Amino acid sequence: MNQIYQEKEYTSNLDPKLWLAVLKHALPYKKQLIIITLEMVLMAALDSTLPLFTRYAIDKMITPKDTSGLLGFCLLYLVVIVVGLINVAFFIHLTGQVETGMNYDLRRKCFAKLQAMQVGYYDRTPTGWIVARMTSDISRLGDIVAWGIVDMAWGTALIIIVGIITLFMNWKLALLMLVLIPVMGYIGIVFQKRMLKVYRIVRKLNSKITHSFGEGIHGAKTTKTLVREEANLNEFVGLNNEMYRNSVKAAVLSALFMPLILMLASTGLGLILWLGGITTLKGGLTIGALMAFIEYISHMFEPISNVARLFAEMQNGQAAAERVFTLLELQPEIISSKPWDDSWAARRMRAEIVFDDISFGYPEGVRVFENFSLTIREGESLALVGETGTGKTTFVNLICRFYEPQSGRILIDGTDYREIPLKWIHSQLGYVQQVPHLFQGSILENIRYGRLDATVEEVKKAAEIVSADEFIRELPGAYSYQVGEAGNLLSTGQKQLLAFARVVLADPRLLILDEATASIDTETEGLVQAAMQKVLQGRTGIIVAHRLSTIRKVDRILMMHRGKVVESGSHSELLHQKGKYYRLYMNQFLQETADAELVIGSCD
Amino acid sequence: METIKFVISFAKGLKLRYLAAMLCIIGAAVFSFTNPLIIRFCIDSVLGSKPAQMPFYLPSPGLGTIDFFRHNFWLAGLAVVLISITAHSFTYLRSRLSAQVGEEFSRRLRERLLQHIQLLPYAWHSRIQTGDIIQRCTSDVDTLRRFISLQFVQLGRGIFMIALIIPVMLSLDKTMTLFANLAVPLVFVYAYMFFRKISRLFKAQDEAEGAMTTRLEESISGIRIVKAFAREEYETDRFGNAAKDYRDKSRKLITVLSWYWSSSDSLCMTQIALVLVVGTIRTISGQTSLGTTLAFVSYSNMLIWPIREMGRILTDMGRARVSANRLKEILDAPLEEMHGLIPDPQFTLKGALEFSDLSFAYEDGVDILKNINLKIEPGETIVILGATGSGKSTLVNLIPRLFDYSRGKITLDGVELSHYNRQYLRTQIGLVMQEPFLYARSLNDNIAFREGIEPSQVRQAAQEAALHSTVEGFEHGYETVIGERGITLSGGQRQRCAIARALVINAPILILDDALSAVDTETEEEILKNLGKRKGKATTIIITHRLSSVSLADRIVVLEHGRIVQIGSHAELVSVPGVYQRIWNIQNLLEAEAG
Repeated sequence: MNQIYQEKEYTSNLDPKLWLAVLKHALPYKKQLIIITLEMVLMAALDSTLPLFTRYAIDKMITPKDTSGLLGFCLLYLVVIVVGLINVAFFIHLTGQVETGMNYDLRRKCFAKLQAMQVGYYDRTPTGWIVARMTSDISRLGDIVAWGIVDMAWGTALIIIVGIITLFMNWKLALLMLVLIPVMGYIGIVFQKRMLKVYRIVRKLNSKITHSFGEGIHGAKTTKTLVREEANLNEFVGLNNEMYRNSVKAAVLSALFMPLILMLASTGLGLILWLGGITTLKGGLTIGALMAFIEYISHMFEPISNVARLFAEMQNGQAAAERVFTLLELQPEIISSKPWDDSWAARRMRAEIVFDDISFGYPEGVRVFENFSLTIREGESLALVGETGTGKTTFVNLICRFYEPQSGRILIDGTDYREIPLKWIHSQLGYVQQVPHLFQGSILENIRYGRLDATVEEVKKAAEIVSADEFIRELPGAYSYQVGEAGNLLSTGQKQLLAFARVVLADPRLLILDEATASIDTETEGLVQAAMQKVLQGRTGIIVAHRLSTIRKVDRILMMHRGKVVESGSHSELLHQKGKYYRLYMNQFLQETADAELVIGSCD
Repeated sequence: METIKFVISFAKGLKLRYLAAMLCIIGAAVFSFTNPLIIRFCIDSVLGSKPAQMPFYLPSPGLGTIDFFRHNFWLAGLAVVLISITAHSFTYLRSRLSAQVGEEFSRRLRERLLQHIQLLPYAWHSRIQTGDIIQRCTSDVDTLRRFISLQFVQLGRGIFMIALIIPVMLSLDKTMTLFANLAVPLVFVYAYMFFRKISRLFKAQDEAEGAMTTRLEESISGIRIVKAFAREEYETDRFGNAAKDYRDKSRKLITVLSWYWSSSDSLCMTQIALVLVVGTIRTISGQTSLGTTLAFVSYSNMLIWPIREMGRILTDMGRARVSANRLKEILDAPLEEMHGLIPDPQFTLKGALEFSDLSFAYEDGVDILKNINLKIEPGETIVILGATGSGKSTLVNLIPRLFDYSRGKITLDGVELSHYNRQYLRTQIGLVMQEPFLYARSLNDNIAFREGIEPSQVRQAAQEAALHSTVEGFEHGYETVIGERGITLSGGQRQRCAIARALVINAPILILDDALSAVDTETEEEILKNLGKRKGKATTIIITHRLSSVSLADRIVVLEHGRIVQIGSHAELVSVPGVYQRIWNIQNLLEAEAG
């Protein structure tokens, strides 16, 4: 399944349509781009005057031994330098604005598209894939567009201006020089393409090598106990040698590129020196003009190699462009027939849920529910129990409308939830995950996620209600304590208390709670249990339960097995049935008491 | 100095090639300096009428020769082309050689790193931060490579160019030499100072990018929370702010850079203009020739740009040193010692384990195991019960000598563990960890991890680990690739795969360290039943906190705070007061509750 997301190989030729579509995203910077283009034309004009200064110095000052024009010459040269200075500073600045601006716009647009996508999309798409599109691929587009226009405008203008100037100076020599340009350009493009191809291989090998080091370190214990050190090293040596071969190939190609172009340019130089020299001897060309020609041809390789690199990069960047467009063209699959309007904001959910003959299966997976029906009363607390893979998580996914059933209806307060704005459902819903997700930031921000306009006092109150206040106040900085990436500086139990506080603040009508299976330290465990009871009060609650203390207290327990409710009732009813629930409970109970006994024993 | 020694230790057999690269720099420089001299000769003597003058007392062509050139001007053109080709060939060779050296260097370095890391003691592995070490092995190696194959060579180029061009300049015109080099130190110092100053802007940009990426990743991994609280717009704003910050930091950097590039460009151009103007004045006053002036213009052009680059490279050099030291730190860590007994291949261990007065502490000095005395007979099955932190895992980690103990004894077949060669010892143990690590390759390769394991054995072991039917369900069966480039296995499947891997070698000792925690009850029963059939074949130690495994045990060991508090068979332990009895008594209470 993941293979879909491996980088595709693109060997196709330049696709102008695709690049036009990319250019459309640069339209907000139309003005800047026009100015940049004009600036690059000016730059090219300035650059092409420099050899004329040499010509003037030779023909008008040195040969006639006349210094009268020297002051004007110096001043004019100074003007060119100063104008150049301002111009360069300005165009780099502007190009940077366009590049970063375009990247920023694309990132925002893509992110908004991503946010509208349903959870199913995220379950199918690796995080790394999305991140790579949003970071390096988008950066590449901005880079190619902004700096590409710089290179194109400058290169084209320079070639045209130099062409015109030299044609006026001596058309035969000028033609000779201009003939060389396409040859250099062709070789340049062919070369760049081959280079990029090898570099792509090198990049892939590089990620394999990184992976090997990852295995070497993550798998250290396994490698040691299996005594696989040598076998691993031998495999790595093969990979490493392949890396060496390809890197050297890439390095040799790139080492050859500039010298080759310069050799070609020197052929032009030799020809100009020869034919120009003869013309000069015959009096058809001044020495100054000959020198100007020599300067022109010596610098002609620059615009050409720039444009060649641009074309190669564009071809290579095509894959990036296509991938970014897949993000921009995303269409959410879960949408409501009724749009959100402000009248919804005031409505309260009663939270009576009905599963009406629904069937559901994941794409390219097995069916989870087949003709499943169930009614959850307003204010009822319901526990789902059963082994992994029996549909508890899917049940939660369906209620939260992360996924929708393929047939049948789910009714909220009597209305098919497809006809209710998604935003309203989610605004009335609270959700606590097994391992609660926290965001990098302060504790305050994380609790406030439940209700964005809550005051600091309200946040503290919510934390007090779930007894999270105590541990928070012990942290350095208390509520401003930074929880680290994904909240990793806190324990699972602490994260859970914060998630409860978040829910208290949100005050939802419907609460969905996925209990942690991982063992939480005993001290926090008690707090978590108490907090859970508190947040369940006065609302409909659905709990994926793992702990006995939770199970015993709910109104109704559903014993799930392979997408079906096999037993249903209160705790004592189910125990008396002596069925699956009974066995599960016995196992669990034994386990929990054994754990407790062992811990208590250890505390003696 | 230590750092240089470290770098050179990887350069065996490469030094000559690197020296050749350096010589190529000189070759390229010498030849590229020749072309302006040819043009000078053409302008002054062939096109003009000055007698030819060569630098360094080189023989100057006589009038007859000059006349010959005048009639065969193509010779000048040809000379320029040939000299250019030679110069550029040298440049190519230089890049090629230095790239080869750099790549070979990093190839050796990577190999040594992986080899070393794998052979470092496990104590080292449990101490380090994985991401940090991986980064050192990749980007620090790359920093060093770039330094060797590019930066150092470019520095050399700059130095050689100055060293070679100044004598040539001096021999042509001393005054012009002074004017041609006026801005050179300035350009160099400017570049050096500038890039040192703005390193903090680069860092700010990197950090902003990192913050943006983190935001993005968090919004993806927390998508269920984002959705459940209807926070899509809020998230978009937050990400937008991070992206904007990155944009603004980048813009700030680019704007500062734009002023640097433009001003230093202008400085370089002023230098060249100065040479032209001074040359023009001196030519008119007859102090120098037109050809010499033009040669000086060319030389200035050749010199000033690489000098500007040198300033930038010099600020980067510190990074290479930091990288080298970070790598040296890894390679300086002492390896696991690998001495000790390796018995004859025909000899098989019986598997009698004895722990006597064993105590153990990790580096922090707190005793995890205290006075352990336990004798395990060959083929016996022991179940160790204990709470988290009671020292169960530590105890079994000592058997394959993942950690070295110093107080007390552990013997295997009567021989002290430390007398065995570590790797030999490990081949004699099948160990399954709670969170097993699988290699990103096929299932078959994961189970048949050692040479000489037949497909039929793989199948057999998979059957015993209750994995076979799951594998049959995969499209590619045992050839299914797992991990990053293949399918993701569930926690239970991973554990079962690791069990198969431990069973397949039929080692005399089998250790399961909480190896069934993610397996569902039905599968667990099946695996326990299969393990029961194997009973007696290997000395088996099962660590668990699940009571279901107890049925397999010959004896049960209850561990508390690093001490053994109870040892005995199920029947024995149930009949004496203690933790074990209390646990089993609860069952009766339950029966009563159900009625």
